[in-house]
Amino acid sequence: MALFLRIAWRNITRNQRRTFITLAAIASGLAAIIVFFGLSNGFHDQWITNSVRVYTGHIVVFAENYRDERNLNRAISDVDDLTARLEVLPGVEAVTPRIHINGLVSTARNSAVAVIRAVDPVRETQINGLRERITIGSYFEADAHRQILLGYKMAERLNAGPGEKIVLMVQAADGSIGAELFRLQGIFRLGAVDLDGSLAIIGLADGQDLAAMDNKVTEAVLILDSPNDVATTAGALATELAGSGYEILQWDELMPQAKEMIGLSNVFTYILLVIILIVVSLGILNTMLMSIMERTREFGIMRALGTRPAQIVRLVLLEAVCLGVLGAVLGVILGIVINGFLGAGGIDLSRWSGAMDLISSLKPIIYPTIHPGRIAIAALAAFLTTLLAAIYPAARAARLSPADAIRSL
Amino acid sequence: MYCLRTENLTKLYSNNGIEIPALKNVDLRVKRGEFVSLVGPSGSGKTTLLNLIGGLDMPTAGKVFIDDRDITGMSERQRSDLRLASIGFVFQEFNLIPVLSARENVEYVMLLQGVSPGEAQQRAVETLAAVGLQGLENRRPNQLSGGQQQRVAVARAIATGPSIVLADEPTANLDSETGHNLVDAMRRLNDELGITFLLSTHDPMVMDSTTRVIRMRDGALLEEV
Repeated sequence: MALFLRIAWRNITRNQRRTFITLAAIASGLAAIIVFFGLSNGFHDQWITNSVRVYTGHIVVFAENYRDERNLNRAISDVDDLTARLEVLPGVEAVTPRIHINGLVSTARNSAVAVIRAVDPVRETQINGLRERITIGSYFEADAHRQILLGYKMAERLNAGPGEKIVLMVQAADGSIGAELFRLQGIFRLGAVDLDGSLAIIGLADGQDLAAMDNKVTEAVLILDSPNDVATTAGALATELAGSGYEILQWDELMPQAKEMIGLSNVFTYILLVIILIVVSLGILNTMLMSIMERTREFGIMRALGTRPAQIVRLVLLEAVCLGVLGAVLGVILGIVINGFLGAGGIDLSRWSGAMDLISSLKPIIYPTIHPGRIAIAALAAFLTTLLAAIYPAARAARLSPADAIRSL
Repeated sequence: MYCLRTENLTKLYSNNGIEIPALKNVDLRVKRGEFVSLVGPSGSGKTTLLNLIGGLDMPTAGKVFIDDRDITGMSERQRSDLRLASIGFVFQEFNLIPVLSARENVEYVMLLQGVSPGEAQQRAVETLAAVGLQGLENRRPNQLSGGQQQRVAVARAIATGPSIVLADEPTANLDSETGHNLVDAMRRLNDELGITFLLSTHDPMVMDSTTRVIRMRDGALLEEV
């Protein structure tokens, strides 16, 4: 093996221009894949980050059995204690309590079905910048009482403006109908069409009053430092809260459609990878065939000396291994450099932010992120493509008739 | 004891449906230790005969025996192994693997045979010295003259201890003095080590150096001189 590896290495270094072109094809194809992976990952990460901050949180803790019937009597009762325990876990950026209940929002003239979210105003705006998302009116005042924020689409439908009286009606924990009068404090625009059309936000204490929940909340929402740590942190949480009567859910369990969209987007990414690799493999096939044809007489001599056909195959494949390894290393370096360059400023998609609205954008800027596992997959795929593209040239070299090969000059 | 024997060896080439005989019923016997030249005009079938003897090409009919083993019934791989063990080749030109030095070219065949790298290197240096190339071991083929390249090819052909060395017009591209020296070197190896040579040539000087001359014309053996 060492003998053929030495010959293979010298063969690829002898025509440096051709080797350079081949390596450039492999490396640029691989770099393109890595950059696309980076953009796609960055897009997904941004999407997840944006979505979890306005919808669910990375991880949500419910009281056990609460979600089956949404029975408010089974909500979380010791939320302060729970929050304190969760906040100190590693990787947790913020914890905020919420109440979610369905109800009716009415003005004097109109009414609409709404998801009513009761929040801690300070903590809530820390995780999703709700204060900055107010487009008309203002955010909750300190010590706010009976103030309500509505999504702009909901406000349009109700034809309501700041200062207007709003009545909320829900079915309370004790089975009675809870109804309270609120005053419209502000109108927000989260950039998520469904939330802007259905969400009504009130203070946590007002929510507890409205639904007769005493000091209970329906959920504790966790935001993590990194979206990659969801599974690990959820595991740590499960250990921390074991036996305390809680249910722990991750964002993708609460938003399965978002997970599916990302899965679909990944499929397209892999299709692109295959297309790029096919183009690269045709280039490699071409240069390898050229190189084999130029060396026809050499292969004839080697066969005459007693080199077996299988050893000729091995020699040509080893040349491909050298090219594949070099190309993969160069491609990974190039891809990481380009990703880093793009990542420094991010890619501003605000020009197309209409499209981003559909998926709840807080920041229409994509930062490419590199997942080492994916780089490894792409590099391995590029390497194997090089090897695959060399199989036919190798077989041709091995099948040459020695007598004919030696005659050719 | 013949190290080489052919029986009714025939080769037809097909050209646009017309069969052209390149070799007709050739019966040739070469004994161990002989130094034989094969002479005849271009197209008389010398190269075809050498290719068939070396198993580089397959006959249309007839048999080739190397050390009494019929090579015409062998698989491609068996013939490769037989060439490695029993046959040395020297071609007219461009014999060497260009990316390997003179020493590495000679080592190549020994390494294929499974000789250890250390021993192969030592034997390669000795064999190159035997053909007068000491001091040039590390040169690549493009740093050697035509005559020196042919000497490396001869050294490589004998390094594996073959039963017979086949040389197809080894001096054709060399000036007469260089050609003379090359044949002298082969002759010495024949005398001193008993290596059997069968070489084709146009060159009367080469013919004069050999112990036996076989003439060919139109694909057939004529008389022996």
